[in-house]
Amino acid sequence: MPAAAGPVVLVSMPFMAADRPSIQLGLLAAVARAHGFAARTLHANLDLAAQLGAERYGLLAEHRGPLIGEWLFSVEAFGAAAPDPRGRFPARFADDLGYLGESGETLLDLRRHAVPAFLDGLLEAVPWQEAGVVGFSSTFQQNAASFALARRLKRRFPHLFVVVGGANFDDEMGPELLRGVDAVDAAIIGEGERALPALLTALADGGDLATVPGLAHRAGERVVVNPPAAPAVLDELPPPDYSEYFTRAEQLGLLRRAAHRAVWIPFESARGCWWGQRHHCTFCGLNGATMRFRAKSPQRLLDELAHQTRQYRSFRFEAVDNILDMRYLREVFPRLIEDGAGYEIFYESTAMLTRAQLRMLARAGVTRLQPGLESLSSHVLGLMNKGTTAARNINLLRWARYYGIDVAWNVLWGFPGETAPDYAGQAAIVPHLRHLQPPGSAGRIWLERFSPLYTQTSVRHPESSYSYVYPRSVDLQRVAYFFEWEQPAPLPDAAYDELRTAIAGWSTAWAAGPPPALTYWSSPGFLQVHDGRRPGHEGTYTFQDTLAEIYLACADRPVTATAVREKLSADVPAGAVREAFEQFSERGLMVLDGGRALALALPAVPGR
Amino acid sequence: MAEVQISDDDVRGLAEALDRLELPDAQRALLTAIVALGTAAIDQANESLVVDVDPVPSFHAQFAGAFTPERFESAEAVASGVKVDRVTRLMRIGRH
Repeated sequence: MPAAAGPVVLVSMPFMAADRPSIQLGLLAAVARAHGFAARTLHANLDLAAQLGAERYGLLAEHRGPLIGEWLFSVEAFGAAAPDPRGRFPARFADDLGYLGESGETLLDLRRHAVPAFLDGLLEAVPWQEAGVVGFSSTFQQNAASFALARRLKRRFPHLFVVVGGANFDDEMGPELLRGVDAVDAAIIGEGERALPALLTALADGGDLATVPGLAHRAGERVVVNPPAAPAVLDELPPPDYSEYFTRAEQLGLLRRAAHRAVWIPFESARGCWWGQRHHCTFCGLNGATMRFRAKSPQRLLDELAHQTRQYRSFRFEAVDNILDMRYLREVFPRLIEDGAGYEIFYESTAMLTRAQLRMLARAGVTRLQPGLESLSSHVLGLMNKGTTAARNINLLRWARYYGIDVAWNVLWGFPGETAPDYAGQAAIVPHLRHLQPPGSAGRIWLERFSPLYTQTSVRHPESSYSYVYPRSVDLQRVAYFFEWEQPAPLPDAAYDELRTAIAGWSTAWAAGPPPALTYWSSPGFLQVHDGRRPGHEGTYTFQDTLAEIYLACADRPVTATAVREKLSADVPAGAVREAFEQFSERGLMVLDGGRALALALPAVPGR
Repeated sequence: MAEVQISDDDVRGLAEALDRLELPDAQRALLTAIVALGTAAIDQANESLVVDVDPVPSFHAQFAGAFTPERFESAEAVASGVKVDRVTRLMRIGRH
């Protein structure tokens, strides 16, 4: 197929975030080049961000429910078959779209004028006539924009071979979208590092697409899916090449040209989820096809960070991993500390990190962490299969605060089996946690494809905004990732009101000025706790001897009364220790969880 | 340590209380054996026995007076431990 033998252009469309490069594009371009193919990348999302303004684009790129980004491109993607030509979407989802600060008219104007102009501009952004293959990477709300550009390209440059890939095409989603979108020639299902070079080879050689692993393609009227490739070996992958992102972002004025950059560079140190392999969190739909955990070797990772820093002059790194490899706590972070590396790093992690581990992460430069806390109820955490407890979650928040790690987390509800007391209990705890970082949001879980809840739910419907995006000819049950579901015996929404209000107050307290404080000073047999959590009610608690020892025995992690008793200098019955727990708890100085007690105050002296 | 006097009546009362409890057989046998040991000890001591026990501490008084309402001069200093400029000065003093 000589027409497809030209260079490959890899494209990332809106609404991918524009403030950092696409690791998908950076990695696949480097892989293609390593196999001898000419490849370039087009971060087309940057063009729309420049056109709309970074702030407006950033809001549209946030995914908060209805598929606003997909709807904006739907008419351009599907033409007369688009389901909402008159634009009823903004009114239908007005309550959910309030965060945008846009009227229905401005959104319609965006759809009717700005989007077509943006797409027309892209036809001139690249010498498409010289290209042979166009590859679109699509995750979350990038489908309609990708199909819209593919449609225009196919009209103007019919020789182009259009392939799509990414999480939006996992499993049955890929074949169904290929069946329903004429402008797309093939879809890579699953990992692309082996499939893309194989596809480029097949196209260049005029070979048979049936030889390309993991490829969905048309065979007459049918869509055929080839057997998948073996999983990629992460150490064998080249570092992602982000050069074109920086060039374009600077050209468009989205990034200032500077010797030093502060962009968060995406890197991948692991794929899959070691926790999910054994205990799949019930709500989690990530890793549809790639749950098996694999990680780069420590040296390979350290080399990549050093290489990328030199290459792009930024010391900020964002891991795209689903979960931190615990081996790195022994073999990577100590090395970063020894080397004196000055990185700032973001990671997603398990919530089961100890004080010592958090201290090490902080010293190694992990300034941002997303530990998947999800709840402050041990019962609800059990229903989620999270493997952690409320006290452990709170303890992580404590030591993260102490060591200066910013924690991104949410409170989730809506799990089968939960009870009203689960939420009343959380609402009662929250006022005592005001010195710790509040959740970014609190709300009902979404039913995600591939999650255990999805598998277990028989009555489910694609989230309602899908029907405003895709033509009726597309089977939404097969292409949707988010679903609405009929939960057996759900709690009424009012069951969450008290917790919702408590969390709002928590967030307000943090936004108002310096975060509230609850700190302690201690010497042998003497303890003072300063409570500054509630303005107007500040004060100092003073405890001596056994009480001071009991409190300090619970300061590191949640412990039982029996364990505390063994640490005390006097022989105190466990019942008396439990009574002390209750008294500390009544004053909001401890949380009690399943027989364990955790002191809430943090050491006043920093950095230990 | 505090001294507690235990009489024959105490042991008899404990045995009666034991009879009223619903216990698995093994636990009942264990408690019966313990009570029997107590009875034997009192028999040997001629009707009463003085034992030393650790007092069960009550923390109520300390908790009741533990809180002193007061405002700190700088909430921020408390929130992060010590202000950065003070840390720097202290480190210099410590090192030189």
